[in-house]
Amino acid sequence: MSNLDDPEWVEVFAEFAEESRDALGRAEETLIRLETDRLAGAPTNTEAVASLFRTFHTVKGTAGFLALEQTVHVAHDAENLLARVRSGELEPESRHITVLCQAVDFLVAAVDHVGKTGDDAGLHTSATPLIAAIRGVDDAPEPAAALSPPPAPPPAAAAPPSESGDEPVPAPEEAPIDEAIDEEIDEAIDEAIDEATDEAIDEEIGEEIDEEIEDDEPALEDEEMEPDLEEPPVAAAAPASPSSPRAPERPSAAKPSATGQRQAESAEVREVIRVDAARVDALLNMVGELVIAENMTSREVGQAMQGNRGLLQLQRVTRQLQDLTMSMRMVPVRGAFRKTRRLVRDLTQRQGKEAQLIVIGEDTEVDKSLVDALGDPLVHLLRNAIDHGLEPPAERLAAGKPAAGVLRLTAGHQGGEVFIQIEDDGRGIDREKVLARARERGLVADGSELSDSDVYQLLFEPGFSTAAQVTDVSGRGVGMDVVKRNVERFNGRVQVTSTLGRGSCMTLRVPLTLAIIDGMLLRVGTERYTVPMIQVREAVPLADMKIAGLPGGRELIELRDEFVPFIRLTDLFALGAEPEQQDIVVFLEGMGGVVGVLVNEVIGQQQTVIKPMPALLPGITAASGCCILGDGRVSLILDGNALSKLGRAHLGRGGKAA
Amino acid sequence: MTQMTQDLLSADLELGPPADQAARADVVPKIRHLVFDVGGKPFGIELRHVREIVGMQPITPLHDVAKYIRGLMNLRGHVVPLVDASLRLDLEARDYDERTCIIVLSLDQHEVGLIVDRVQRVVDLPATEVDTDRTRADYLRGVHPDGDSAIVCLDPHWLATASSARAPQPND
Repeated sequence: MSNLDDPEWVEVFAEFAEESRDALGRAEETLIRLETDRLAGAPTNTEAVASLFRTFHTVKGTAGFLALEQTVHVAHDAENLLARVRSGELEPESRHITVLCQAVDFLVAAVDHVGKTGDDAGLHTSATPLIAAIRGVDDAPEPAAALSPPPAPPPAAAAPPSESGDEPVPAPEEAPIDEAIDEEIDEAIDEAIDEATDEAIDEEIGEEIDEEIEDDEPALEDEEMEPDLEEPPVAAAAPASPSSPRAPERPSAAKPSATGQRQAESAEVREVIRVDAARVDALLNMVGELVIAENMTSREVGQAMQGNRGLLQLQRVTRQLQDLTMSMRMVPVRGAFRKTRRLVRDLTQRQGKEAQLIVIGEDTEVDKSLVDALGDPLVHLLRNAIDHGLEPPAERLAAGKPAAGVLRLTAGHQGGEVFIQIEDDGRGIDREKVLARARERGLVADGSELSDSDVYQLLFEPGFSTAAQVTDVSGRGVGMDVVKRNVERFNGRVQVTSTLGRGSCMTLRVPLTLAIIDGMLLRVGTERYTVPMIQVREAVPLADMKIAGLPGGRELIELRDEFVPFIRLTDLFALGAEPEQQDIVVFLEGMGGVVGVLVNEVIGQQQTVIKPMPALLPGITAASGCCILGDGRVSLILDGNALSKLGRAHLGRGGKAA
Repeated sequence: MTQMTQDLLSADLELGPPADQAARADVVPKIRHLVFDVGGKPFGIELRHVREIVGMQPITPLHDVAKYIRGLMNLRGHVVPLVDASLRLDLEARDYDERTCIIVLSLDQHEVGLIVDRVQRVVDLPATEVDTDRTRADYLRGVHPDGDSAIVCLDPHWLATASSARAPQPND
């Protein structure tokens, strides 16, 4: 009987799977941070090491309860390694981080595998070499420290592949074991992060790169610090090494008290509870109602009860409750960025490139569904930036650039959209090569003139990117059509800019499905409109402005020696609002340029929940959404992009454009 | 009568009246309708589409929409578009007064508010079928005598949406 038929087991496993995925995701991040810190010369963060230890320990404990033998073994050995780091016995080098990352990958894969099959016996073939790698990562300096042997002797390294056939490539017999592991694990990673594309590239670079990683290890430093440590075993490079992976039976330096601590440490505080999104939405609506009711109460009884403590308290609590609820569906984009550090580390090491990843705006809050959706496109774009954008150090130096490339990953809100930008300072896109390739494939007619952005859009043609001629020289685009599809699913788009020799920049823009923006509240007659602060360029009293009338009633307004389209909101919405003394022109910046918008008053600034326009009203221009004001009225959120386009269109129709 | 009744019965079964009622062949099946006035004339709409009736609300006007879409209102945190029934029916626009109210319809999970002069009552109207080919009026669901006038039953989807159904044309 499979475990999957046992409801109790399934229940425990489901919880285990969810917690483990979370915890392992965080663990990976922590590992990369440890390495980054170390490279920057910072002392080892003992707190981080302890949390890593706890993660593996918890996984091991629950996996043991679920009788997942392979999972327990891997977690156990990872834990042992960390115990040595924790005790200060070991400084975490890159190779340690690498095997620990591989252990994380294994455990994540194991959770998925077990979810499908009910046990992890089939993972035997990948667990065994991994365990060997963890143990063999370097010598235990003091074998005497190994008081407790591992829970079970690892199965023979040369074990035949199991029937389940999970493992893509059995290691060639003469290959050093850890190279085989690297290959297997790398492939597993590749599969996990990238189902759709570029297996080819990995295979191309596969083996030699694995060796490169090892060669890149700072051997000198190792020997200075711990003279009896050996290089990680690459049979070809260090055939005589005593720490050869062919001796996996040797017990590693297990922390003596590891098993004894299991009970004490396995109870980790849960940081997250999962809630049905529909409930959160309902709560948001209810709180919105509460805020409005509170506002009404305050207005109606406020005069009589000026300064009443209860009323003030009610106002304050309501406000806080509103803030809190608003934030519930929003999560930092960090989740989507989590994989990136590891990815950059692994890819650059493999390819012998150097890159510094700068991440900006990780705390940008976006709707939860977006974080999930943006993960894959991000991975594709980063791979492209490293594979095709960044040059090898020598080439960079020859081009007068620093040897290490800079990858800049930025997230933020702009004009009611979330944008995520990946910028590199590599080769850039060779427009002519792309164009030539497109002509070859008949995508572009000979002799037709294309703008740069048209040319870059060609990269998103399915199949275009994988063309060897382009990828070899300059072309971005492995999996670019996948990126585009993913982003378009969320009504988003991808923008590309590039300068040959200077780098490229890919920007994903996705509209917010639900988000809070900083809005500027404007009044026209009795109506109030909201504009995203981020689109407001400036606001100037009308009295100071020069207005030019065009045929057809169109108008332009002067903004610093330049005439820009001018829209009177009262006319646009047929409000019949009278001009007032303090009339003010708000200049909005959108994709169609700057547009001046006439309003009666700027009321102020406030945070607003964007609500989408009702589905029964397709194609509303000028507004990107709406929000509900404190008094319960609906306020349109004017969209600078649409208004600026509208302004241009007016000019086009009304007469000569400026 | 018998053949027609049979047809009606089978058509009505899908709308889900109580089984015992449908079994009595001598009773014409009835459907609950909400009757409201627009421009002094009674109109009907199937009650199952009606979610609630609220008094007049502040309206946020829109730009670049059909004239009969008056704007948006806030219904307990939901933003609901409003259709003015008299404009939708090509009747003369009327000023809103204290009897003006909004019938909130729920259509395919979407809400839409229908501004009417006043709400009359709920009645059971016989289920009939309108030959839309002959009348060429897909907004029409049926016409039922009511005292000295007639209740015109409307298609709620036609009322609520601008594009999916044909508006009555002068030469219809």
